[in-house]
Amino acid sequence: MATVKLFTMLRKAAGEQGYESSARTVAEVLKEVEERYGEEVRKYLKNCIVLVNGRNIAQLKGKRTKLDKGDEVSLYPPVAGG
Amino acid sequence: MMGGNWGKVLKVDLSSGEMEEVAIPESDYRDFLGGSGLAAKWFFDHQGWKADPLSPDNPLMIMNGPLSGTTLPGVSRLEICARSPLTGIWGEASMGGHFSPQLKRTGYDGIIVTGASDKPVYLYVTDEKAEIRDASHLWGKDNYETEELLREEVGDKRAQVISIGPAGENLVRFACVMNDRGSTAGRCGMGAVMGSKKLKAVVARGNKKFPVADEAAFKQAREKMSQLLKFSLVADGLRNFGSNVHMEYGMAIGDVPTKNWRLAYWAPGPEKLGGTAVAESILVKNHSCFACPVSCKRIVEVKSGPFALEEGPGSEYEAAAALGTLQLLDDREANHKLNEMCNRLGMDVISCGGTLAYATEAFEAGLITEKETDGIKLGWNRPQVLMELVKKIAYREGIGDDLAEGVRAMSEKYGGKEFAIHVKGLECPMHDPRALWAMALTYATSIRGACHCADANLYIELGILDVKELGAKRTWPYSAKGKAAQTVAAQKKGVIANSAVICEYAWNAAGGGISDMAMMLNSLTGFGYSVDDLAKVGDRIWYIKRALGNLMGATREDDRLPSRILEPHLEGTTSSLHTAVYPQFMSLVPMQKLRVEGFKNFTAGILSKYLYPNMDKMLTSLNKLPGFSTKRKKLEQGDLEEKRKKTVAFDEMIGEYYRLRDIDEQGRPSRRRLEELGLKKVADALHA
Ligand code: SF4
Repeated sequence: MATVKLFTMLRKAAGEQGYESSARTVAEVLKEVEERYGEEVRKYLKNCIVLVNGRNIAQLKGKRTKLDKGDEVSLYPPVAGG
Repeated sequence: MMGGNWGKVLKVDLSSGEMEEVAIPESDYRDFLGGSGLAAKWFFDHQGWKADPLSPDNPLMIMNGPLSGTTLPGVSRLEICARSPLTGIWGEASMGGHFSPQLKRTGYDGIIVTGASDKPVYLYVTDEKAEIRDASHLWGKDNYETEELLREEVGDKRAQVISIGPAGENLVRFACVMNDRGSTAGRCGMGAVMGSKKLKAVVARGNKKFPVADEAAFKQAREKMSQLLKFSLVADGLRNFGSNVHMEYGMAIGDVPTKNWRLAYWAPGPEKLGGTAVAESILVKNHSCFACPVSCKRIVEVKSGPFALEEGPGSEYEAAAALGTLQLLDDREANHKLNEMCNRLGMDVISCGGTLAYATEAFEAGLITEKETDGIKLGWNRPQVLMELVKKIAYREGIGDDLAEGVRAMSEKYGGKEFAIHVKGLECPMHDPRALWAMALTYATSIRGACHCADANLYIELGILDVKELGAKRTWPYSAKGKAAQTVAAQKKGVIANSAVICEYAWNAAGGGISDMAMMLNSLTGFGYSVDDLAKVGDRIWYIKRALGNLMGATREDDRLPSRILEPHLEGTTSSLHTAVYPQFMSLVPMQKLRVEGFKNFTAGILSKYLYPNMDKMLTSLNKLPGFSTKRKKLEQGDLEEKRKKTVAFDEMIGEYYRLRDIDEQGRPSRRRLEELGLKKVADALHA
């Protein structure tokens, strides 16, 4: 079970902070998030930064990055500029 | 008739008590717009650069622009400019809130204050009169109290106040000017300039209808900008989470300075200090500058506990980072309390945070000891210590007297220049050039010192804007290629924003179009600018400011960045040497095959903490072991290569930048370039 954490506009669109997921890869999480929250979240998922345990998946295996028990998947939608 | 402006400023001499209206030629408005552009022109014409920053001769220029204070969205701003007591060069600071529209309605485009009073005073300016009034009873009051008391005193709830707190009175070199409790002209110590003149506040109240060249076009422009904002994702983010929406995404891309720029990624940043967490905890409501539909300001409240704070402005992104992550502070309430203290006492949160983080590191390094701090033990994540120091700075007590001089002066006195993070004496704001390479050029070549608002690079690098209209291409964040051209274009945009004057959040959220800017300006002024005309105006203003910097002593040597913010992080795993060294180092030991993520993170943590700081020693010992010499060489080569790749290619970027800007070896713009822009007198002064 990995913990999926949603931030900023994704959290607002989803209406919750995140959830426990049994997905085995990041790709599965992304699919699951879209299915779970519907159309509303799609625009925020595009170009979203994904960290697994604080590390960018670009430095891991991208969307194929495998998830283990206790992993944390953080999704940061591209809303920025402060 | 020229619209948008009144064609005159109010000039006040606090030494003699004389006041006069001074007409500004229409050509100056056309060529320099207003705001900080027009202020720079005035400053040059009146040889402001010859004045000591805290002397009576330093003119304090409080300037609206043609857009300022109108009912367009996001134009609630004005600029406060003077020679900076923090940097010694050109200083400017932009402020939102509600003062600008009142000033606009008094019938003046700005107020220029020279001289110094011998007792505390405030200025009261309406559309009928201007008075210098006694402020002895206000001296020592904080900004929130002053604003309230003055509104009562003039008997008008709609009167707007800009003021300084005790920090400005005590000439803290990064003292700010405040309006509307949470809107700040923060940077460059403009509050200390007011303090040196014994000017506690300016109160404005007006009813005059400002002139508009083309009413129908103005309405159309307003409608278009409002529509653009309505459908903007950026505006949505700002509205929902404030500018602190950046904490989350920013940390994810390595853009949020943490632990005095040492640490690469720190989860408590987004999880505890970020805009999302604030919205779910201490947020009471949103707040807005005048006529702005974005409404990015936060009103928060902490009901009890050590960091209790009454309902009022909360941390914006810069404060959340400078007084949060930069101090490795993970307590949200403490962060907002520190922000409130800075607001009340009147200090720039960025410079204050930068100076405090330097002090903590200097204390750890033994450069500052308990002897200097009167027994205070500085350290990371110590909110009570930070609160104590903030107070000491504002009142210049004990170590606070040194800290009040800013990070450059501190490092000159105590050492530790390598971790005194500033450019030209201005503490770096909370965006990391290692994440967005263009920010290196932005900080190095911004006229006032390290500044993220002087140009549009931040938004361009984040992929929100492009600069096609200005003939430049947007570039890849981690690459030097094209950065100089992008920066030149981004700077044109930045100076236009600070001269027009418009809030960069609002303009950028609406797409940041130069043609949209021309549309707004033309509807008000009737000047009929094209995009090319505005690009030229942007250049003209940039060059006159650069020349002013040179006249006040700035050279190429000052366009440098501390290497700490160009090289891989000293700690942490996001963009540090971790990915480079870790696999290679691991190949030396039989753990190579262990690929369990948790283990890797654990190992990475250990490596960051213990190994990397001692890498040299480790390598030396390894070298002594038989058979390790070749391995060591390979490892070092790989390490250096990776470090090179991860180090911002600053020299390459700045070389190209100087070429494009036609900057000579001493850092001055060429005579030819200045003359092309109609700045012959500036060229004569500079190349005399
Ligand atoms: S976007 Fe925020 S800072 Fe800018 S004018 Fe609007 S409310 Fe003020």
